[in-house]
Amino acid sequence: MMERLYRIAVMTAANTHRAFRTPANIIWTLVVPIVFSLVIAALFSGPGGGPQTVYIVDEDRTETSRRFVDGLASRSYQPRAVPREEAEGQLAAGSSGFVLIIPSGFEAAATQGQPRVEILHGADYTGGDFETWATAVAQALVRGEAVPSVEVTQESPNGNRAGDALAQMRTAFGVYIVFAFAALFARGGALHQEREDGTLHRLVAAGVPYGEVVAAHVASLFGIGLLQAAVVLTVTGAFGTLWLAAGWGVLALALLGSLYVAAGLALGLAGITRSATLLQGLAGGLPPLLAMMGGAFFPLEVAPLALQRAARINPIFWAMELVTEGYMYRGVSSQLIPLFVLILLGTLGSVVGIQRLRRMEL
Amino acid sequence: MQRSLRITGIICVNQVRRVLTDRGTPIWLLALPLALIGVLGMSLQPLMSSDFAPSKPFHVVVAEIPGGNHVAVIEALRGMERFLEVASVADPESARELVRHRVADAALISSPGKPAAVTIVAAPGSVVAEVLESAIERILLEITVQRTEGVEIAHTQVDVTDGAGETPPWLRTDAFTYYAAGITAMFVMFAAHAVTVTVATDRATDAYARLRSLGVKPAVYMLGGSLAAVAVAILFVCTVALISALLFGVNWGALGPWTVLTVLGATAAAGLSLVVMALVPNPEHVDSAGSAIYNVLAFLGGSMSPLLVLPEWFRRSFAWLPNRALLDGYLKTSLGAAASEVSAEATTLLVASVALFALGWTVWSVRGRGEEA
Repeated sequence: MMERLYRIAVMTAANTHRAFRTPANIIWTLVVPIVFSLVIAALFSGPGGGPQTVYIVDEDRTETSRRFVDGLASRSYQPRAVPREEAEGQLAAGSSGFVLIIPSGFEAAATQGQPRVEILHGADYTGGDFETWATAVAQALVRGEAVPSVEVTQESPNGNRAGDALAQMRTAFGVYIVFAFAALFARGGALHQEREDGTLHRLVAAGVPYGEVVAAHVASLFGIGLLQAAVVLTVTGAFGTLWLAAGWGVLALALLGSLYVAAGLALGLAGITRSATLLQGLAGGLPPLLAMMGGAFFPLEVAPLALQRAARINPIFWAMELVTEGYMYRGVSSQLIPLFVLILLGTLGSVVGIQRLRRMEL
Repeated sequence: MQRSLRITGIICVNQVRRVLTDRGTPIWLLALPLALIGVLGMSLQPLMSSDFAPSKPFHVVVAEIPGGNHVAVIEALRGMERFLEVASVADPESARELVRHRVADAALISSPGKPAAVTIVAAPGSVVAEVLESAIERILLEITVQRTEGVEIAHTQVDVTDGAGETPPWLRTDAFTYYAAGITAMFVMFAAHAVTVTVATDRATDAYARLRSLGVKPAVYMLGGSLAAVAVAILFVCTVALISALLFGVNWGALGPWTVLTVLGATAAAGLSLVVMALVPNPEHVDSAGSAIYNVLAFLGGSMSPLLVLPEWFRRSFAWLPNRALLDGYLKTSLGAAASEVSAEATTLLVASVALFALGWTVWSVRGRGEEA
């Protein structure tokens, strides 16, 4: 028994080592996921893209008009005083939907309690929000009061107020999971590659039972996944991704559930297909497709209802649910359902894969 | 000369045939891009439409707070019935509990005595949180301002259609057209690379060495391979364009500018693939190196995430990429642009093609001399 386990362990270590042997594999399995996780999370999970630039033409050029321009600065708007030609150019170029004109005589009108401004806009301008804000600022100016402020706070359902950072972490996980699936799917073809190269035949001829080779193949899939997760999460964590925001337990379940399903499906695909090249192709194309249909890159709420329903059979949807539930809702207790679904899908893949691989002719 | 041309032709046809008869080609270069166009087009169509509304309204609960502004907030939110279905609950804890158990999508909790303060309880980054944040800011401001008399805001509509610039094509298109162009611009690189991988395999299996021993010059071999890459890339674009037009109703625009872009785009992709092969010393790694590079380029060039959701600096920084130029060009033609209107994109692709082939050929030649020595 110990001898069998030792042989499996040696083959597992060799298979895992082979996955990280070449610079190209290291780049694809470790470097690219890290870079993509950090870049995409930073790009898409920021605070709504920052304040909107408002081009303002100050034709009054008085102290009051300057205070009005300064008062317009808020979380939503960033005023920028420019000459009229530039403002009209921005409007024409489509980089701004409207331009605010402060006409000469603004200060005098404000002193009489009736300030007047003008908004230039294109045909499809609907407006409304900025007008409300400009009115509030002008009123405060006329009355000599402070500019009104509103306070909108975001809170995660579990009470965490690090909203943007949590959204960033979720996006980073979405990117990581695509690369985890891709790496394991690609390695799923290792057994076929060994058969094509003749290594498998030599192993079996040397007396190693085929079942042990398959077992080592399964173990190495999980090993590669764990190694990749350790490196990617450690590095992205060092750059500020909040992997431990909900504790080790939530992170461990999220990783184990995701890796289990990825390894199981990789095994299933290896059993169904007979070619390492085909698996390589599937590894490149299938995970991004599943991720897009599973809400890893954009919220599924924007998709049609049919696609939202179809996501219920998508492993990446459940992997993302595992993270969302754990980090944003009720922690480990609410991770159980997605975890169960992932284990079910992973086991199904493993059973199909192992059965097919066992029956496969050498 | 004639012999060289004949051999170039034979090598080209042979490489094209090998890619087309590969069992993986229909999956990798046809089913997958079409599936991506279908899925992304369907998924993001509502988001890219100017009339976006979720498939069902988000369920929002508002906590009743003595002295809070919940009545005014509920009243204002009821005007957004396409987006939100609003109900009130007795207290903040009940509201939070409903969200925690995902019975409600979001909860709004105002602060007693602070009419302009509200806490939104929702999953960070969710659509409902974004929708509520902008709506609540406006509502709170309206509650705070109350009176609007005394301030006059005049509106003047101006004609912006003849301005110095124009609305970018990716802001005027639907999701199916966007992704048909984007995925084509991405997979044309993979199509060209499929040939390059077979060329690289010839090096690994000594087929190339045998051809060289029969007197085939490296330039002839490379030219044959590159022509095959261009041919496969063009075939790929034509097939995807035809099927996407039939399946998803994608309009690719006038044939003239489309053909110019396709030929130049395919040539640039073949040039890029040649550079990858020349730079990667081990033929076995040419495939995976190409995959990594093309995925990165596809992301930077707007093939994966729509350009409209990317920051302005990002869009500007990578506008020079050949795959981005191809995407922009295809989107323009789909909107009815003539050949002269895609001249900037065509020039970018032409320059990229020349530069990439020059670089690829130089590296290949230098390495080839090193290997032969």
